[in-house]
Amino acid sequence: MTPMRDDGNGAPDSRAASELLRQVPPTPPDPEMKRRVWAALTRNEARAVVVPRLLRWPVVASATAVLLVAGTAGAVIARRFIGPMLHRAPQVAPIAAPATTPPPRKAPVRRAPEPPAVAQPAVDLGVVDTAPAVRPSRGARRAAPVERAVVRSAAESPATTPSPRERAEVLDAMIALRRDHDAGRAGQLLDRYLAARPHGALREEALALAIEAADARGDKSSVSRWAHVYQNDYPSGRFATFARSHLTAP
Amino acid sequence: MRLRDARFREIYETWFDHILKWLYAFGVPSSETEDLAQEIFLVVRRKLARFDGTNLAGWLYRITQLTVRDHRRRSWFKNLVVRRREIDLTELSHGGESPERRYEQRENRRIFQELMDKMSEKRRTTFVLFEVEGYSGQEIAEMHDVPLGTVWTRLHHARKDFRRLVKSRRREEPKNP
Repeated sequence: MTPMRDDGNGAPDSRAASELLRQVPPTPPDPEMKRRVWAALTRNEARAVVVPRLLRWPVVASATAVLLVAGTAGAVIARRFIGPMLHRAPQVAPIAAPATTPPPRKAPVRRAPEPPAVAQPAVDLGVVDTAPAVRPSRGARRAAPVERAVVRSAAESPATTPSPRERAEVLDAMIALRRDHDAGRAGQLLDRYLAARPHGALREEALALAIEAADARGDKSSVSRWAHVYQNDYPSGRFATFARSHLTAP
Repeated sequence: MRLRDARFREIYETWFDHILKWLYAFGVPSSETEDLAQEIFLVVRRKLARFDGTNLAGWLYRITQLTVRDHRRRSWFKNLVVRRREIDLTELSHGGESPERRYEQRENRRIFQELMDKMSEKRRTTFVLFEVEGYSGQEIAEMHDVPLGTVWTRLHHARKDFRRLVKSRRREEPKNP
Protein backbone atom coordinates (compact mmCIF):
# COMPACT_ATOMS: atom_id res chain seq x y z
CA MET A 1 0.00 0.00 0.00
CA THR A 2 1.36 3.42 -1.00
CA PRO A 3 1.79 5.95 1.79
CA MET A 4 -0.73 8.75 1.62
CA ARG A 5 1.91 11.47 1.57
CA ASP A 6 3.13 10.15 -1.79
CA ASP A 7 -0.35 10.26 -3.27
CA GLY A 8 -0.57 13.74 -4.78
CA ASN A 9 -3.54 13.10 -7.06
CA GLY A 10 -7.25 13.02 -6.35
CA ALA A 11 -9.77 15.39 -4.83
CA PRO A 12 -8.67 18.69 -3.28
CA ASP A 13 -9.38 17.34 0.19
CA SER A 14 -7.14 14.31 -0.45
CA ARG A 15 -4.43 16.59 -1.75
CA ALA A 16 -4.73 18.78 1.32
CA ALA A 17 -4.48 15.73 3.57
CA SER A 18 -1.38 14.52 1.71
CA GLU A 19 0.11 17.97 1.90
CA LEU A 20 -0.44 18.12 5.66
CA LEU A 21 1.14 14.69 6.09
CA ARG A 22 4.18 15.79 4.12
CA GLN A 23 4.57 18.71 6.52
CA VAL A 24 4.81 16.36 9.51
CA PRO A 25 8.27 14.76 9.68
CA PRO A 26 8.88 11.38 11.30
CA THR A 27 10.17 11.39 14.86
CA PRO A 28 13.94 11.85 14.65
CA PRO A 29 16.32 9.72 16.76
CA ASP A 30 17.46 11.50 19.90
CA PRO A 31 20.89 10.15 20.97
CA GLU A 32 21.13 12.67 23.79
CA MET A 33 17.86 11.53 25.30
CA LYS A 34 18.93 7.93 24.84
CA ARG A 35 22.11 8.60 26.81
CA ARG A 36 20.22 10.43 29.57
CA VAL A 37 17.65 7.67 29.96
CA TRP A 38 20.38 5.04 30.13
CA ALA A 39 22.19 7.03 32.81
CA ALA A 40 18.94 7.36 34.75
CA LEU A 41 18.32 3.61 34.47
CA THR A 42 21.82 2.89 35.76
CA ARG A 43 21.29 5.22 38.73
CA ASN A 44 17.92 3.68 39.36
CA GLU A 45 19.40 0.19 39.39
CA ALA A 46 22.12 1.17 41.86
CA ARG A 47 19.53 2.74 44.14
CA ALA A 48 17.24 -0.28 43.84
CA VAL A 49 20.04 -2.52 45.08
CA VAL A 50 21.20 -0.32 47.95
CA VAL A 51 18.01 1.31 49.22
CA PRO A 52 16.10 -1.80 50.33
CA ARG A 53 19.00 -2.88 52.54
CA LEU A 54 19.22 0.58 54.06
CA LEU A 55 15.46 0.78 54.48
CA ARG A 56 15.27 -2.50 56.32
CA TRP A 57 16.89 -1.21 59.54
CA PRO A 58 14.76 1.89 60.00
CA VAL A 59 11.64 -0.18 59.42
CA VAL A 60 12.66 -2.77 62.01
CA ALA A 61 13.71 -0.05 64.46
CA SER A 62 10.46 1.85 63.97
CA ALA A 63 8.38 -1.29 64.43
CA THR A 64 10.28 -2.15 67.62
CA ALA A 65 9.84 1.37 68.96
CA VAL A 66 6.13 1.32 68.23
CA LEU A 67 5.78 -2.06 69.95
CA LEU A 68 7.69 -0.86 73.00
CA VAL A 69 5.65 2.32 73.31
CA ALA A 70 2.40 0.42 72.84
CA GLY A 71 3.43 -2.20 75.40
CA THR A 72 4.41 0.45 77.94
CA ALA A 73 1.18 2.32 77.40
CA GLY A 74 -0.78 -0.91 77.79
CA ALA A 75 1.02 -1.74 81.02
CA VAL A 76 0.38 1.73 82.43
CA ILE A 77 -3.29 1.58 81.51
CA ALA A 78 -3.62 -1.89 82.98
CA ARG A 79 -1.91 -0.86 86.21
CA ARG A 80 -3.83 2.38 86.54
CA PHE A 81 -7.33 1.33 85.51
CA ILE A 82 -7.73 -2.42 85.09
CA GLY A 83 -5.73 -3.46 88.17
CA PRO A 84 -7.92 -1.63 90.69
CA MET A 85 -11.02 -3.10 89.08
CA LEU A 86 -9.65 -6.63 89.38
CA HIS A 87 -8.68 -6.04 92.99
CA ARG A 88 -12.16 -4.94 93.81
CA ALA A 89 -13.82 -7.89 92.14
CA PRO A 90 -12.95 -10.64 94.66
CA GLN A 91 -14.21 -8.48 97.54
CA VAL A 92 -17.64 -8.24 96.03
CA ALA A 93 -17.95 -11.70 94.58
CA PRO A 94 -18.74 -13.67 97.76
CA ILE A 95 -21.56 -11.31 98.64
CA ALA A 96 -23.31 -11.80 95.36
CA ALA A 97 -23.76 -15.51 96.05
CA PRO A 98 -24.71 -16.09 99.65
CA ALA A 99 -24.75 -19.63 100.95
CA THR A 100 -28.19 -21.25 100.76
CA THR A 101 -27.68 -23.40 103.84
CA PRO A 102 -25.60 -21.50 106.30
CA PRO A 103 -23.51 -23.77 108.48
CA PRO A 104 -24.13 -23.60 112.21
CA ARG A 105 -22.16 -20.92 113.94
CA LYS A 106 -19.46 -21.94 116.28
CA ALA A 107 -19.33 -20.41 119.65
CA PRO A 108 -17.14 -17.34 119.58
CA VAL A 109 -15.84 -18.20 122.97
CA ARG A 110 -13.95 -21.16 121.60
CA ARG A 111 -12.60 -19.27 118.64
CA ALA A 112 -11.59 -16.11 120.41
CA PRO A 113 -8.65 -17.51 122.34
CA GLU A 114 -6.92 -18.87 119.27
CA PRO A 115 -4.36 -16.19 118.51
CA PRO A 116 -2.96 -15.85 115.05
CA ALA A 117 0.60 -17.07 115.20
CA VAL A 118 1.68 -14.49 112.67
CA ALA A 119 -0.21 -11.38 111.82
CA GLN A 120 -1.16 -12.73 108.40
CA PRO A 121 -4.66 -11.77 107.41
CA ALA A 122 -7.00 -14.73 107.53
CA VAL A 123 -8.85 -13.64 104.43
CA ASP A 124 -7.42 -13.66 100.96
CA LEU A 125 -8.14 -10.11 99.93
CA GLY A 126 -5.68 -9.67 97.14
CA VAL A 127 -4.52 -6.24 98.23
CA VAL A 128 -3.77 -7.53 101.68
CA ASP A 129 -1.60 -10.26 100.19
CA THR A 130 0.73 -7.74 98.67
CA ALA A 131 1.22 -5.91 101.94
CA PRO A 132 4.40 -6.34 103.91
CA ALA A 133 4.30 -8.53 106.94
CA VAL A 134 2.24 -6.87 109.63
CA ARG A 135 3.96 -6.00 112.85
CA PRO A 136 3.18 -8.62 115.44
CA SER A 137 1.58 -6.02 117.65
CA ARG A 138 -0.97 -6.78 120.26
CA GLY A 139 -3.75 -5.16 118.23
CA ALA A 140 -2.90 -7.14 115.15
CA ARG A 141 -2.75 -10.40 117.04
CA ARG A 142 -6.18 -9.78 118.42
CA ALA A 143 -7.61 -8.68 115.11
CA ALA A 144 -7.46 -11.93 113.15
CA PRO A 145 -10.81 -13.28 114.36
CA VAL A 146 -12.47 -10.01 113.41
CA GLU A 147 -11.07 -10.15 109.92
CA ARG A 148 -12.36 -13.66 109.41
CA ALA A 149 -15.71 -12.64 110.68
CA VAL A 150 -16.07 -9.75 108.25
CA VAL A 151 -15.83 -12.14 105.35
CA ARG A 152 -17.74 -14.98 106.94
CA SER A 153 -20.66 -12.94 108.12
CA ALA A 154 -21.61 -12.14 104.57
CA ALA A 155 -21.54 -15.76 103.54
CA GLU A 156 -23.06 -17.27 106.62
CA SER A 157 -25.97 -14.98 107.37
CA PRO A 158 -28.05 -14.36 104.29
CA ALA A 159 -30.68 -12.60 106.36
CA THR A 160 -28.27 -9.79 107.15
CA THR A 161 -26.29 -9.77 103.95
CA PRO A 162 -24.30 -6.54 103.73
CA SER A 163 -24.46 -4.49 100.60
CA PRO A 164 -21.28 -4.34 98.51
CA ARG A 165 -20.80 -0.73 99.49
CA GLU A 166 -21.18 -1.50 103.17
CA ARG A 167 -18.77 -4.36 102.89
CA ALA A 168 -16.28 -2.21 101.01
CA GLU A 169 -16.39 0.45 103.72
CA VAL A 170 -15.50 -2.04 106.47
CA LEU A 171 -12.86 -3.72 104.31
CA ASP A 172 -11.32 -0.34 103.53
CA ALA A 173 -11.05 0.32 107.21
CA MET A 174 -9.51 -3.10 107.75
CA ILE A 175 -6.96 -2.51 104.98
CA ALA A 176 -6.09 0.89 106.43
CA LEU A 177 -5.57 -0.69 109.81
CA ARG A 178 -3.80 -3.92 108.88
CA ARG A 179 -1.98 -3.18 105.68
CA ASP A 180 -1.31 0.54 105.84
CA HIS A 181 -0.98 0.66 109.62
CA ASP A 182 -3.02 3.85 109.50
CA ALA A 183 -5.06 3.47 112.63
CA GLY A 184 -6.26 7.08 112.45
CA ARG A 185 -7.83 6.65 109.04
CA ALA A 186 -9.24 3.28 110.00
CA GLY A 187 -10.84 4.90 113.05
CA GLN A 188 -12.36 7.63 110.90
CA LEU A 189 -13.77 5.13 108.40
CA LEU A 190 -15.24 3.00 111.15
CA ASP A 191 -16.68 6.02 112.99
CA ARG A 192 -18.31 7.09 109.76
CA TYR A 193 -19.66 3.62 109.11
CA LEU A 194 -21.03 3.18 112.61
CA ALA A 195 -22.62 6.63 112.55
CA ALA A 196 -24.15 6.17 109.11
CA ARG A 197 -25.36 2.60 109.70
CA PRO A 198 -26.39 2.12 113.29
CA HIS A 199 -28.07 -1.16 112.32
CA GLY A 200 -25.63 -2.19 109.61
CA ALA A 201 -25.04 -5.85 108.84
CA LEU A 202 -21.36 -5.49 109.73
CA ARG A 203 -21.86 -3.38 112.83
CA GLU A 204 -20.55 -6.09 115.15
CA GLU A 205 -17.35 -6.48 113.11
CA ALA A 206 -16.99 -2.72 112.74
CA LEU A 207 -17.20 -2.28 116.51
CA ALA A 208 -14.51 -4.89 117.04
CA LEU A 209 -12.31 -3.20 114.44
CA ALA A 210 -12.97 0.19 116.02
CA ILE A 211 -11.74 -1.18 119.36
CA GLU A 212 -8.64 -2.52 117.66
CA ALA A 213 -7.99 0.75 115.80
CA ALA A 214 -8.39 2.83 118.93
CA ASP A 215 -6.06 0.46 120.73
CA ALA A 216 -3.50 0.73 117.95
CA ARG A 217 -3.40 4.51 118.14
CA GLY A 218 -3.33 4.45 121.95
CA ASP A 219 -6.71 6.14 122.42
CA LYS A 220 -7.73 4.43 125.62
CA SER A 221 -10.96 6.38 126.06
CA SER A 222 -12.14 5.32 122.60
CA VAL A 223 -11.10 1.73 123.32
CA SER A 224 -13.17 1.77 126.46
CA ARG A 225 -16.10 3.52 124.80
CA TRP A 226 -16.32 1.09 121.83
CA ALA A 227 -15.81 -1.89 124.15
CA HIS A 228 -18.73 -0.70 126.24
CA VAL A 229 -20.89 -0.23 123.17
CA TYR A 230 -20.01 -3.73 122.01
CA GLN A 231 -20.75 -5.23 125.42
CA ASN A 232 -24.15 -3.52 125.52
CA ASP A 233 -25.15 -4.43 121.98
CA TYR A 234 -23.66 -7.93 121.75
CA PRO A 235 -23.25 -9.27 125.30
CA SER A 236 -22.76 -12.79 123.95
CA GLY A 237 -21.36 -11.80 120.58
CA ARG A 238 -18.50 -13.43 118.77
CA PHE A 239 -16.04 -10.83 119.96
CA ALA A 240 -17.40 -10.47 123.50
CA THR A 241 -14.24 -11.85 125.05
CA PHE A 242 -12.16 -9.54 122.89
CA ALA A 243 -14.24 -6.54 123.97
CA ARG A 244 -14.20 -7.61 127.59
CA SER A 245 -10.43 -7.88 127.56
CA HIS A 246 -10.27 -4.25 126.52
CA LEU A 247 -12.77 -3.22 129.14
CA THR A 248 -10.65 -4.64 131.84
CA ALA A 249 -7.40 -3.45 130.35
CA PRO A 250 -5.71 -0.66 132.26
CA MET B 1 18.60 -9.31 36.42
CA ARG B 2 21.29 -6.66 36.19
CA LEU B 3 21.24 -3.66 33.95
CA ARG B 4 24.57 -4.71 32.49
CA ASP B 5 22.96 -7.77 31.16
CA ALA B 6 23.82 -7.95 27.50
CA ARG B 7 20.31 -8.83 26.45
CA PHE B 8 18.77 -5.79 28.07
CA ARG B 9 21.47 -3.54 26.69
CA GLU B 10 20.88 -4.93 23.21
CA ILE B 11 17.15 -4.34 23.47
CA TYR B 12 17.73 -0.83 24.71
CA GLU B 13 20.12 0.03 21.91
CA THR B 14 17.91 -1.47 19.22
CA TRP B 15 14.49 -0.38 20.36
CA PHE B 16 14.87 2.96 22.12
CA ASP B 17 14.21 5.00 18.98
CA HIS B 18 11.26 2.82 18.08
CA ILE B 19 9.72 3.40 21.45
CA LEU B 20 10.06 7.16 20.99
CA LYS B 21 8.14 6.80 17.71
CA TRP B 22 5.46 4.72 19.37
CA LEU B 23 5.11 7.28 22.12
CA TYR B 24 4.58 9.93 19.46
CA ALA B 25 1.99 7.69 17.80
CA PHE B 26 0.16 7.45 21.10
CA GLY B 27 0.07 11.24 21.25
CA VAL B 28 2.36 11.63 24.25
CA PRO B 29 3.64 15.22 24.52
CA SER B 30 7.37 15.50 23.90
CA SER B 31 7.83 16.97 27.42
CA GLU B 32 6.84 13.61 28.88
CA THR B 33 8.57 11.32 26.41
CA GLU B 34 11.80 10.97 28.35
CA ASP B 35 10.14 10.07 31.64
CA LEU B 36 7.89 7.57 29.92
CA ALA B 37 10.77 5.98 28.02
CA GLN B 38 12.60 5.48 31.30
CA GLU B 39 9.51 4.01 32.89
CA ILE B 40 9.02 1.64 29.97
CA PHE B 41 12.57 0.34 30.17
CA LEU B 42 12.25 -0.16 33.90
CA VAL B 43 9.29 -2.42 33.17
CA VAL B 44 11.22 -4.15 30.40
CA ARG B 45 14.13 -4.85 32.74
CA ARG B 46 11.81 -6.17 35.43
CA LYS B 47 9.89 -8.45 33.08
CA LEU B 48 12.61 -9.55 30.71
CA ALA B 49 13.29 -12.76 32.62
CA ARG B 50 9.69 -13.83 32.03
CA PHE B 51 9.60 -12.91 28.35
CA ASP B 52 9.12 -16.01 26.20
CA GLY B 53 11.23 -14.65 23.35
CA THR B 54 8.55 -14.57 20.65
CA ASN B 55 7.53 -11.30 19.02
CA LEU B 56 9.78 -8.88 20.86
CA ALA B 57 8.29 -5.92 18.99
CA GLY B 58 4.76 -6.89 20.05
CA TRP B 59 5.89 -7.37 23.65
CA LEU B 60 7.61 -3.97 23.80
CA TYR B 61 4.68 -2.28 22.07
CA ARG B 62 2.28 -3.77 24.61
CA ILE B 63 4.44 -2.53 27.51
CA THR B 64 4.52 0.92 25.92
CA GLN B 65 0.77 0.92 25.45
CA LEU B 66 0.07 -0.08 29.07
CA THR B 67 2.63 2.36 30.46
CA VAL B 68 1.09 5.21 28.48
CA ARG B 69 -2.36 4.28 29.76
CA ASP B 70 -1.11 4.22 33.34
CA HIS B 71 0.63 7.51 32.85
CA ARG B 72 -2.51 9.13 31.46
CA ARG B 73 -4.55 7.82 34.38
CA ARG B 74 -2.05 9.22 36.86
CA SER B 75 -1.87 12.52 34.98
CA TRP B 76 -5.63 12.82 35.07
CA PHE B 77 -5.63 12.52 38.85
CA LYS B 78 -2.65 14.84 39.13
CA ASN B 79 -4.32 17.46 36.96
CA LEU B 80 -7.30 17.47 39.27
CA VAL B 81 -5.05 19.10 41.85
CA VAL B 82 -2.38 20.90 39.84
CA ARG B 83 -2.97 22.14 36.33
CA ARG B 84 0.30 21.84 34.47
CA ARG B 85 0.98 23.39 31.14
CA GLU B 86 2.39 20.87 28.74
CA ILE B 87 5.43 22.24 26.99
CA ASP B 88 6.25 20.80 23.62
CA LEU B 89 10.03 20.53 23.53
CA THR B 90 10.00 20.66 19.75
CA GLU B 91 9.04 24.31 20.20
CA LEU B 92 12.35 24.91 21.93
CA SER B 93 14.58 23.29 19.32
CA HIS B 94 15.58 25.46 16.42
CA GLY B 95 18.43 23.81 14.51
CA GLY B 96 19.32 26.90 12.54
CA GLU B 97 16.01 27.13 10.68
CA SER B 98 14.33 30.45 10.05
CA PRO B 99 11.63 31.59 12.50
CA GLU B 100 8.96 31.41 9.79
CA ARG B 101 9.87 27.83 8.93
CA ARG B 102 9.91 26.84 12.59
CA TYR B 103 6.53 28.42 13.12
CA GLU B 104 5.11 26.63 10.09
CA GLN B 105 6.40 23.24 11.22
CA ARG B 106 5.12 23.75 14.75
CA GLU B 107 1.74 24.81 13.47
CA ASN B 108 1.49 21.80 11.14
CA ARG B 109 2.40 19.43 13.95
CA ARG B 110 -0.13 21.05 16.25
CA ILE B 111 -2.87 20.74 13.62
CA PHE B 112 -1.91 17.14 12.94
CA GLN B 113 -2.01 16.27 16.65
CA GLU B 114 -5.40 17.94 16.98
CA LEU B 115 -6.77 15.82 14.16
CA MET B 116 -5.20 12.66 15.57
CA ASP B 117 -6.77 13.28 18.95
CA LYS B 118 -10.16 12.84 17.30
CA MET B 119 -9.37 9.30 16.11
CA SER B 120 -9.60 6.06 18.04
CA GLU B 121 -6.33 4.75 19.47
CA LYS B 122 -6.11 1.75 17.12
CA ARG B 123 -6.68 3.76 13.94
CA ARG B 124 -4.50 6.59 15.13
CA THR B 125 -1.48 4.44 15.97
CA THR B 126 -1.82 2.45 12.77
CA PHE B 127 -2.09 5.64 10.74
CA VAL B 128 0.81 7.46 12.41
CA LEU B 129 3.12 4.44 12.37
CA PHE B 130 2.44 3.79 8.70
CA GLU B 131 2.03 7.28 7.27
CA VAL B 132 4.40 9.32 9.42
CA GLU B 133 6.95 6.97 10.96
CA GLY B 134 7.27 4.78 7.90
CA TYR B 135 6.65 1.31 9.37
CA SER B 136 5.46 -1.40 7.01
CA GLY B 137 2.10 -3.10 7.36
CA GLN B 138 3.81 -6.32 8.43
CA GLU B 139 5.77 -4.55 11.17
CA ILE B 140 2.63 -2.90 12.48
CA ALA B 141 0.81 -6.23 12.44
CA GLU B 142 3.56 -7.76 14.58
CA MET B 143 3.54 -4.86 17.00
CA HIS B 144 -0.22 -4.86 17.41
CA ASP B 145 -0.23 -8.65 17.34
CA VAL B 146 -3.00 -8.70 14.71
CA PRO B 147 -3.25 -10.14 11.17
CA LEU B 148 -1.97 -8.02 8.32
CA GLY B 149 -5.48 -7.68 6.93
CA THR B 150 -6.60 -6.00 10.13
CA VAL B 151 -3.84 -3.44 9.75
CA TRP B 152 -4.95 -2.58 6.23
CA THR B 153 -8.56 -2.32 7.35
CA ARG B 154 -7.61 0.00 10.19
CA LEU B 155 -5.44 2.05 7.90
CA HIS B 156 -8.22 2.34 5.35
CA HIS B 157 -10.66 3.62 7.98
CA ALA B 158 -8.03 5.89 9.49
CA ARG B 159 -7.36 7.49 6.10
CA LYS B 160 -11.06 8.09 5.57
CA ASP B 161 -11.27 9.66 9.02
CA PHE B 162 -8.24 11.79 8.32
CA ARG B 163 -9.59 13.08 5.01
CA ARG B 164 -12.91 13.87 6.63
CA LEU B 165 -11.20 15.69 9.48
CA VAL B 166 -9.01 17.70 7.11
CA LYS B 167 -12.04 18.58 5.03
CA SER B 168 -14.04 19.76 8.03
CA ARG B 169 -11.07 21.77 9.19
CA ARG B 170 -10.70 23.44 5.79
CA ARG B 171 -14.34 24.42 5.96
CA GLU B 172 -13.84 25.98 9.36
CA GLU B 173 -10.65 27.85 8.42
CA PRO B 174 -12.26 30.74 6.51
CA LYS B 175 -14.54 31.39 9.50
CA ASN B 176 -11.46 31.79 11.74
CA PRO B 177 -9.10 34.10 9.85
